[in-house]
Amino acid sequence: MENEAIQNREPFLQNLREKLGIERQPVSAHPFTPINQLPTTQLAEKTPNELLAITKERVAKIRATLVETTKENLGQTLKEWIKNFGGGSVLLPTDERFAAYGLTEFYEGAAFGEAKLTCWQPGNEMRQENLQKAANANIAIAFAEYLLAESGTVVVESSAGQGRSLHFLPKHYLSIIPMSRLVPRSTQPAAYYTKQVASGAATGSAIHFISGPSNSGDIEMQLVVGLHGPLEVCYVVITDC
Amino acid sequence: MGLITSNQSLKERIEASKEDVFMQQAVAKAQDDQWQKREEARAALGNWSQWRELGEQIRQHTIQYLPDYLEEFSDNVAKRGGHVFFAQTAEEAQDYVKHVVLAKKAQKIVKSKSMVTTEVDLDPMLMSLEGVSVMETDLAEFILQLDDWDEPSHIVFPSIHKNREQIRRVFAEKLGYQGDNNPENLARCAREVMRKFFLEAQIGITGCNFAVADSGLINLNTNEGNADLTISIPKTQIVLMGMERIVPSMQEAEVLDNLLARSAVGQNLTTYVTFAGQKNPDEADGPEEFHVVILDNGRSNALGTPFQPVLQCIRCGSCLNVCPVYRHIGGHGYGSIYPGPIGAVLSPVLGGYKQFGDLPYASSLCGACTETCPVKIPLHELLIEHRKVMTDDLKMKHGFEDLQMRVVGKATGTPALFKTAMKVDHASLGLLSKRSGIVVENLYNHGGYLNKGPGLVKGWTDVRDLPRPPKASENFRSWFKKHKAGETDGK
Repeated sequence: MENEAIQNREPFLQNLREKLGIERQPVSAHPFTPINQLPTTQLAEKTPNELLAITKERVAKIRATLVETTKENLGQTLKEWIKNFGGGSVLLPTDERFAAYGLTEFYEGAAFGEAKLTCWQPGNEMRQENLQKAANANIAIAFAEYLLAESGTVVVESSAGQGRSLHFLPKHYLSIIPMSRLVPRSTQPAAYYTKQVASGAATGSAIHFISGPSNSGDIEMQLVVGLHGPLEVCYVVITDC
Repeated sequence: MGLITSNQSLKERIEASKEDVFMQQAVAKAQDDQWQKREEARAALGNWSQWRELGEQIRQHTIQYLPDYLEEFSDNVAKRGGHVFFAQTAEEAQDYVKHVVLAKKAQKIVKSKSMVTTEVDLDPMLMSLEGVSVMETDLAEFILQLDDWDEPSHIVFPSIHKNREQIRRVFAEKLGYQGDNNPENLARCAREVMRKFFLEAQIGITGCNFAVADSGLINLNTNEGNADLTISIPKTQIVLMGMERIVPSMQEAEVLDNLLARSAVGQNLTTYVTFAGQKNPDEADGPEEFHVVILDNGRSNALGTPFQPVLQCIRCGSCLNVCPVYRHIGGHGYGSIYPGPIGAVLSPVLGGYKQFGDLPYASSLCGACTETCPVKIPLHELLIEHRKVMTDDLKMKHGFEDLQMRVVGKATGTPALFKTAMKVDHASLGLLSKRSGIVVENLYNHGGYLNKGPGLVKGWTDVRDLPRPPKASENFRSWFKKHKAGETDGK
């Protein structure tokens, strides 16, 4: 396919082939077979509770917070953390999981005390409005696809109702993760998304692995927590789901 | 700036580095701190040598079939609606970016840290465009930009040579900052300034840690979150990537992201590890237009040669963090945007021996770089290979230097000549030698010493004394002859 979308490709690649002394082949002719299985065996024997203990240890190291709750108490836990984070404007995605997990009080325009909820609206035409909402929000709340024990990471995927900026512009970030989505490490989501790609299934255009609040060591290598992204992050783990 | 960061000779740059005491202390502290963090993170993972083997295998496989993976990647970017431009040279890459910026009539451009954009000298070109302003958004790069585009001095910590007070002064002068030199307050100020600019930017420019061939997504690793804002807010995104920065799928990217974070900063993963491309039509943010520029710019010089493994590099900077030469001369000593051992191998490949032929000699060949590399690039062996190519293949060593080496070669390769030399060295260096009273420091060289040696010896005597060789009757060979096992009384 040599068209306007791809320019100068053939002479560029031909030069590489000549230097490498290889012929053009489809990548399926030389699949990559790993020399060992370390990624999949790492922490593989751990039980969910052991993984949760590993996660907690790691989360403390990356200066995030992890709280455990139940499906029944999820709404109450979120309200407490909205208060802890100072209330104000709270940005939610448009995500069916809020209703599925009984968060019926969490909708566009709802208010808890001094906190006011607003939603990321689906659709390309809502770009500017959504970005403004995210920039003005004090808190964002979103469900994660995975929680990774080894690195204390949440994995989120963009969708029509959940933009990329939602995770980065607000000052505080609350991530909700059902215990069933707790896995050993980054290997598991990478395998899942690789399979999705291979099968041609639709995925979001952005997949973010987020491990705690943003930080920098650029000034005299001294750690500063909170730079471009959220200043504080809390993971809310639903232990009975 | 481009690949070359200085017009001075290596000697002049080293002299300048010697004067910069803060830089030396900062580099030493960084190396020591990072040593601790890196080794702990690797030990915590366990089986580090097997992880390195896996990392090496992924990189070698991808480089071996590079054209096939680049073809697959570019097809997949195009399928998502994006554009791919293959650039042979820095100029072609610059021209393409310029074309996009002008077509979009962009006025504000945000950049997240990218060595390749520095390599192709992108910033000066963008700044020369009328009505266009550019902001580097990695904190260190932001500081360097504010300080009149000072040069980066480390792959991972570009502003390592600056202290907090220098940074406070730059912020006060350029941003009207009135706070103290506490890094947290400086960082908050930077956040506010950059946030405003982010929200108004039309184009975001990023580098690329890894390009994922089977999905057409690019993979970025940061701790600050600036790359994520760069790929979220502006309507147009331009990615510049070295052609070798590609992996088959997210599964291999994930392995390398783990090796990278542990090796670069001692973290399990960097705070933000992102895989992203052109936005889907129903999504509200992310780039509506997505351009990838794949750059050769001399990299293909390494393919099919002993230098091919240098393309395995994942830019973790751990070879800089263990290098005794980097510790003393800092990043600016190398005169290339790629400093340290990796820079000493890569810079001559990209920019040629005329410009960077000195760098393969700026090494003690201790091999610490090879030992620490997470993808097993034989760095010190490649430094020797560069020397071999320059000396044996290209015959670049002429004149007195070549003559000296020939004489040394002849003398050490001919027993009769060597023995004669051993007999006369003491006497012949008598005139040049100095003497001083016997003290502890010269207990064993009180026969005299040279502090201004000629030719080859000068490099040594510039920094330390050279003991005058002992008399032939007292040298090691004579001693050994007298004391051979079984023929000695033990004295």
